[in-house]
Amino acid sequence: MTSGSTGLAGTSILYDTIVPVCPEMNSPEGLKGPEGTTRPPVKILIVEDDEAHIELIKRGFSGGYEPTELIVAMTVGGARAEILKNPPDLILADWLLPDGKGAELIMSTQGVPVIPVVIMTSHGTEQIAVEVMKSGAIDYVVKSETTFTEMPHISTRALRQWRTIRDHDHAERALHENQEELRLALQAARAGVWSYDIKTGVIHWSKEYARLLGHGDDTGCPGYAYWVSCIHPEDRGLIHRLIQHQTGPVVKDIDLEYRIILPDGMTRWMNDRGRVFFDPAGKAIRVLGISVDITSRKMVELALAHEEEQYKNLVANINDVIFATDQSGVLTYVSPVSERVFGISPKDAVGRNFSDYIHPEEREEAKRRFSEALAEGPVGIETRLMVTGDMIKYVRISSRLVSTNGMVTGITGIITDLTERRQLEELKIRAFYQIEKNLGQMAVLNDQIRNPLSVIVLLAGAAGCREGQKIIDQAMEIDALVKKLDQGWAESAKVREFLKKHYQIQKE
Amino acid sequence: MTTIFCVDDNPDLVELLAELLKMTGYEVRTAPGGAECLRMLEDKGFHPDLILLDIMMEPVDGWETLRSIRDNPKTRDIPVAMLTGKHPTMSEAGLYGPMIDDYLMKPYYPRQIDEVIRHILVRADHVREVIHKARDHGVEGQVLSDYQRLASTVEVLKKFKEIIGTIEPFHDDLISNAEDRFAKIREQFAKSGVQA
Repeated sequence: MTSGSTGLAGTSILYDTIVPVCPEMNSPEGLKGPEGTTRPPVKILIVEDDEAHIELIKRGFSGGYEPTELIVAMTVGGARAEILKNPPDLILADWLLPDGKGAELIMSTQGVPVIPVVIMTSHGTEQIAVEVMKSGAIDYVVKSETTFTEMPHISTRALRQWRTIRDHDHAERALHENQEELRLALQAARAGVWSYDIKTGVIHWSKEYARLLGHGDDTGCPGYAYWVSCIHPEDRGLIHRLIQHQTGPVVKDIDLEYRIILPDGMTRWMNDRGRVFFDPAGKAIRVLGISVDITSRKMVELALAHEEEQYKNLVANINDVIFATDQSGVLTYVSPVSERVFGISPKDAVGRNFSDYIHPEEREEAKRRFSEALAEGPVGIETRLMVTGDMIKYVRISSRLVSTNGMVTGITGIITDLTERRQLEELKIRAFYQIEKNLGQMAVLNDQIRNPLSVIVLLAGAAGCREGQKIIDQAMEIDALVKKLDQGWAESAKVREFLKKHYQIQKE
Repeated sequence: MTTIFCVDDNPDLVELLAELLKMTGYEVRTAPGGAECLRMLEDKGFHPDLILLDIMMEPVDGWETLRSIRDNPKTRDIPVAMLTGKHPTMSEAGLYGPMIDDYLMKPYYPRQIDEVIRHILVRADHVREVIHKARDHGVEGQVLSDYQRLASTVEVLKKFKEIIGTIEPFHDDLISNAEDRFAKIREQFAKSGVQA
């Protein structure tokens, strides 16, 4: 039951499903295309059981200025089959058909007809008109000589109206969806948006921004001063400079990090990115921004920075040199303190073999002990290093193997400078032996003093006179003094024993 | 005639002491050091009744000389008294106490030295007498030798305690051990019918 004045009926391959949106038809010119372009004909399904009316409608379109493909169905059922087979752009349906009403062909999704339907009636009563419009038809015409002639115009108008409805609906839905997506995205990102009208001072917050500031869903903002009061006092200057005095094209894009204080006193870190808008004269009129709560990231950053600072301080302040070598002993890292302790800059040391620095007399022995001991686990050896200007440093090297996937990739360790300690140790030993020597000499001297005393006492005793006794008494006083020295010596012996134990000094 | 052998590296003292002892009626020989002392003792005809030995001498000191005297069978039994200005230590007391017969700190009165000599000689006579009897009663040689040493050891250790004790605590178990051993030997002698 199809026919077309311009041919191609039922052969279109442009539409394989019921998709009414035809991009080429979105132009406000309706059926008119841009000059010089060829466009597919508008497909119109005529649903009419009166052959005479069909003929009149067709004749009406033949006078039209738009290429039109006319398809005809005489029943509701026939029309449905036709719609499925070859979806039209527009349906012109009679109000009353043998198997139902033309309005039954109206299919709507969310209140918008999928295909616009214009209902034609033979009798224009108000009741029918209301019923037709309620059913969702795009237009309603009473059949007459005039309306048949006007059909191309009526069709164009109907299509245009339908497109307007549809586009509006799409736009609204898209907007709604965008807003919803934005809202969800903002919530998920702990972000909010705001705008600041520089001229009026009016600030708009999104709900999300209000929530970030701890103000619930309140979108109203009491004003700039209040906004600033939410910001950490130390960061307010930053905001002032960027926003309040944003009067020239100095800054177009805003990217700043600052802290806010929540009503409960908690501090949170925000990152605001925004843009300043200018009037044609180049004067800033509006700032639009998005705020993201970056507290977690900032905390990690601050903790990391703190940790790094501590590590740097630690490495810089300890006198132990940290080093790493590859598996062949070539230094890959030397901590900066090396410069201060050994006069060797890390830059010079890296790339050289560690053993180059070991005193030649100890090199082979140290290498042997290292390789033997490292196989067992962490190792500590004491050796001598040759540093700047052939200076010798006594050091302790504590190190361990570094393995990756079971393969030895190098050695890491710590070098402790023992030079000063060693010098002190030597000084201590020398001092100790000096004390020993002095004490020994004291014991000898005591003995030597007692020899002449003995002579004096014996001589005086032999004399047997009063003066002799006096001399003996004096000699005994001297002996008493020497005895005190003996006492000191005996006590020193105890001190010596203590020193020996405490300082682990072995008699050589 | 009783012969006293004075060994001291101080010539004035050794001369004076010799004079003094000679006046008391002893025969006196002197040596200016440990090495000379030992050399003189090697002389077959020389066997003094008592040696007065200084400690701080060079190059062979008194203790070294003492050990050589005790190691030599010819001189082993000669009583030795240390006459010294050196304050003894606890370890010296333990080590040399059993090897000497007296320890006299310088400076000493003539009377003191006289008493020391007399005491040692009397005790030596007594010890010789007891040993003679004991040998007759069949007491073994080692026990006799122990008796001879211990007869003076307890007294010497007590003397050390007198001197050392003024400065540091003395290890009394040194004395009690020597006493116990001496008592046991005397018991053994008594069993053999010898009064020690």
